[in-house]
Amino acid sequence: MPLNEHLTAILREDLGPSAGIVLSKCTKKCLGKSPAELTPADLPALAEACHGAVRPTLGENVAARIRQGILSLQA
Amino acid sequence: MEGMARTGTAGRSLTLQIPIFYKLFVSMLFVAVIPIALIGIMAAGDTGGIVSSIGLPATIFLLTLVTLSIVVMWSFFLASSITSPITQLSEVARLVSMGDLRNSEVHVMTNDEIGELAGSFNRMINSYKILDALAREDGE
Repeated sequence: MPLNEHLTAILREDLGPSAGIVLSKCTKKCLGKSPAELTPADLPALAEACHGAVRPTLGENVAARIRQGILSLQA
Repeated sequence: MEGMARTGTAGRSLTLQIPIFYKLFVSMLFVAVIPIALIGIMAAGDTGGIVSSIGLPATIFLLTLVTLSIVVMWSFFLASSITSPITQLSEVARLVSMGDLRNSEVHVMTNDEIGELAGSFNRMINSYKILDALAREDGE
């Protein structure tokens, strides 16, 4: 499974149908590329971007869980 | 319907998940068995002393009272354990339908079907909040 699908699945656990949109927005805003172009090296920056994007709306717990989920893909 | 009891992970702790179907099924059996158990106790134990001291009608009345008390308490516990999360979910759904997203998180701690429903509901609300925030961001 491509990396962006793994990421969408992780985000979908908390964000439901908006997971793809959030991934797309964060990837473009923080890394300047599309989700399909993501590599494992982009994960730390993406994790922080998603954490920052989600925290004001959904709170620290959800944001931290998403960040942890993204970083777990590095292993 | 999945297995009678299965384990699931909630956070980091391992929890036992019992579907409501089986909770109700076992409860109904429990309620049905109480009078039979009491008759069994009467038959097996030396209850002649009780009957002779307070009389047969009073003994039957006492047993009925004990049975009724147990059944009422058990039914109350079961009914409230099922309906209180649904009531909470319904209240949050009403608030969200009126456009109030501030207090829209459902705190249901059960691990049965209602817990799963609450989890899905929270996910849906999170999605709604994110899309709302993104729409506002795009509008600015």
